[in-house]
Amino acid sequence: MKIKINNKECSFNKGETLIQIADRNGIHIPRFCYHDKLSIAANCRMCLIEQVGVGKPQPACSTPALENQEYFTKSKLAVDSQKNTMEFLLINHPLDCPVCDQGGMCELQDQALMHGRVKSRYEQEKRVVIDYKIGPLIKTNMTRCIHCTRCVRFGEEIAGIKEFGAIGRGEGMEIRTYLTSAINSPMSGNMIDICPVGALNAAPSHMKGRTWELEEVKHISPHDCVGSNMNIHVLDNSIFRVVPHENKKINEVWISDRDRFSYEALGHSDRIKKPIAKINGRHVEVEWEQAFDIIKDSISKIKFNKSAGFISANSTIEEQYLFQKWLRENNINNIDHRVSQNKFSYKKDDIFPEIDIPIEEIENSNSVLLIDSNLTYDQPILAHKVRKSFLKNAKINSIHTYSYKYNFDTNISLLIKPRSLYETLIDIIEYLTVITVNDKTLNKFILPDDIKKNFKGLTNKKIIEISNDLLTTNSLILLGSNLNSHPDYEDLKILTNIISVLTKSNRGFLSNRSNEAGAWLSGCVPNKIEGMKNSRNIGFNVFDSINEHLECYIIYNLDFIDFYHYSELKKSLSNAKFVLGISSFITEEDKNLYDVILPLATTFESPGTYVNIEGTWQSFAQSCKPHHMSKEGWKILTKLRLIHGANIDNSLDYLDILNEADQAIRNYKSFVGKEYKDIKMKKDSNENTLIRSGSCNSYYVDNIVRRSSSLNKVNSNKNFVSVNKKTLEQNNIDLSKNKVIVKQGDNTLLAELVIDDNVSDDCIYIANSNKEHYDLGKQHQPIIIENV
Amino acid sequence: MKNFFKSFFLYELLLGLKVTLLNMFKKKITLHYPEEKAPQSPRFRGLHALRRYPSGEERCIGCKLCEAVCPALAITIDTEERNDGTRRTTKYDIDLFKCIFCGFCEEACPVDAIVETRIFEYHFEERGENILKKGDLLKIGDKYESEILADQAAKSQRR
Repeated sequence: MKIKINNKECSFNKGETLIQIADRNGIHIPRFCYHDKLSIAANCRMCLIEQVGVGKPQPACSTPALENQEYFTKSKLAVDSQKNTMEFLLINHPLDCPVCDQGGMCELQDQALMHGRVKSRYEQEKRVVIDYKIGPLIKTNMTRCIHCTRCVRFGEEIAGIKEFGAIGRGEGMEIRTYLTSAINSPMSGNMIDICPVGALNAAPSHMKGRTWELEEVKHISPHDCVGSNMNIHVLDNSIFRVVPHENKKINEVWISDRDRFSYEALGHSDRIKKPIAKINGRHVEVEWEQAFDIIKDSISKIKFNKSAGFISANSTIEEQYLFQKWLRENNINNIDHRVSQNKFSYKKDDIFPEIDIPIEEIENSNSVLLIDSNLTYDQPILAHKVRKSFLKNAKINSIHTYSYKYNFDTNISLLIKPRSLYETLIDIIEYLTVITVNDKTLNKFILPDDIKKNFKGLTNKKIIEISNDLLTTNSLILLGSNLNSHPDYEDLKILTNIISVLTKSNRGFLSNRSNEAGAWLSGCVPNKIEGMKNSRNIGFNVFDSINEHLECYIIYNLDFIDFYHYSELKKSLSNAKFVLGISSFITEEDKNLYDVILPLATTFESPGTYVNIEGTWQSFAQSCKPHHMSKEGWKILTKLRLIHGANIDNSLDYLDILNEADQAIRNYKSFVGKEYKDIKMKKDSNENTLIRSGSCNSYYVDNIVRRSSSLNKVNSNKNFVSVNKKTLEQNNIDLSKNKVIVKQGDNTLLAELVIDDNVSDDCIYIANSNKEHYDLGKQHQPIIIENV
Repeated sequence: MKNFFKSFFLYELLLGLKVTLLNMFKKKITLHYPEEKAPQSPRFRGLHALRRYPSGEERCIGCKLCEAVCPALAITIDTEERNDGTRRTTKYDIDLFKCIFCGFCEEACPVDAIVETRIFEYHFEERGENILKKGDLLKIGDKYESEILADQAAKSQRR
């Protein structure tokens, strides 16, 4: 079908609106309320255009195109109506662009210039609106609001949390939160981008710079396994702000608040400025050359092959490749990145963070099962995709140990104790084996005997319903990212695999790290070398390395609290002969255990590549120069390799490293297929003790996020302990007091008590969000609660 | 023949000397600087100043338009949010070695904060003095406010 816009012939599909057709054909129509990803409101009236033969101008955003009609966007009628709309909009909008932070990137400013009058005729009083604080991330200036309602629709349609609304009518209309509280959505920062005027601005960068001074560099999100594309805006070699970069396949036009505001950590006081070495028992700042000399000296005095290296799964694939290369050249196979994992049951485990379908396909799933996943806060972009599938009538089920808040409704949500996750999955398998007994496509599949031994007969109706939903086509199982501290984590992965084989559903193993898939591919595990090839010598995993009390430890880009076995690690390090740290940040307390610490450039300050869960390689450039004396990871690691006499060209640059890593890794045998193994029988551990459960707070997951000042304000760092009422009564806790004492081993913590029925029975829920929580003890371990 | 006589009697030379002679008796236009000074236009573009409102509040809102328009990149500004919620400069430097005194900054300023005064007599003794800091600029503004005010009034007629 065809229409003519400005005498240009344009073809269109039925139901398309004029503005969509015009956008596709490069014809400019002014607009405020229309946004590609949001519903149509047609309340700004800026997009009025002329339809030949119709007396009144038509709003292009809401008018469907009619065949063989002629439209004009620049005729006298169209231009006049646009001019008049603009004049009305500017009546109540302040005309002080130089004061406003949006000036220079303001849609209203640009369109007033193109479509408005030269001079204002309005001399009466203007409207003034009182501002409300809506949290530490967004700065409001509601007098500037033009009531396009993009933010309101964003909250309802994309974020899924209705917090913003238009209150009042006409002159008295106000956009504000329904309750005067902070905005809680983990994607709230996107409101800043979609606001066409300066009403909503980013608080951390507020009034610190102007748009035209900024340089733009593309980057990949360093905080979750999604790999959102973002643009970093740099002012004077420091990051000014982060905005989304459109990628239809991954993040569309959104990014999470964590990706948007984590850059603030770069100037944190924990930042290491110069290499630090322990000389005569004191930590002093030294020059780079001196630091390398000390490393060379110390390593020659010890048995270097009795070392272990731990690398962060947030490091780039180049760093990980060089790290394992350097250690394996020195016959060290004790390399691992799974520092937050609790138990390692299988020495040859190779199920790593991946998803069977591309991220853009998630929205087409017919049913989704979330296994203990705090999806909305841990992977907000994936939650958005699941929400899209929910809006297309997919059934979302959830099995969890804490009733997480989602931005979509769940069909069935099953709250269970953390230690019965294993049994619940076995129950699902038991039901599925009965259902699929006649399925001939599953002939080759033989269920391991150990699982069959666990069958006990099904009683729970919810489990039957969950399993039935999984049998629909296009179903998806997502295994939560916080489960890696669960003692049965590796078994759960295998059980998930078995369920997916039985139901032909897709699996997704989520991760809180941006490059965990890359860490597997580049060989940062004890049993694999680069490219997922099996290693001849299998080294120790994290748990064994820590408990074997080796002579030397190398810790790359990690805080000690990133380790699940945090207290054991500290013991091993204090007994080790040499401890080398390569990190961007360090706390005063951690510093004492290191012998040499090298300052590392953060991900924003070095080039690199991340592999996300769908297996997409995304490279990014350096957005600003490393702060202080820190150096990029690939430079430090290349120098360390040179110290050990590796035969490398001295004039190596970053692209050579990328090419080398690329060639070594790219040819891995596809992503590992669905497999299942013999499962060891699970012993029932002490059933009646209280267990500490809890995930890591999503704003405390890695060493960058936990140092970002405004994200820390969102995540109140107070000590909260959530327990349900039944458990409290069983343990004789005085409910009238709001403080309790929790104990793990010798450690105690005074905390505020929250009575929360979202917590499962016999559990004390503590979301790790400050260091005291880690000092108290580990998750999934016995805990005691007492009155003050 | 005529040319021959003209050149023989140095006619052109005398013609030139006549101009010299006449000028000897005319009124002199040379100024005895610094005792005497040439008149200045109110639009004279000399040393910069930052102005204040009569209440003592600095005018500059840190919009950085002057920094953006400056063709010589002589202006450097840093801003932050002050406690009362307004944007203010924490740094306002003008490098007088770079400045070409084009007056664009003055024209770009939406609040008439940065102006160019009539001052053109200044010197530097040490490296670094060529950079006028925010404090220096405000001091100049305070000192010459009455003069600047009069000049602004005169200028506004020509806009």
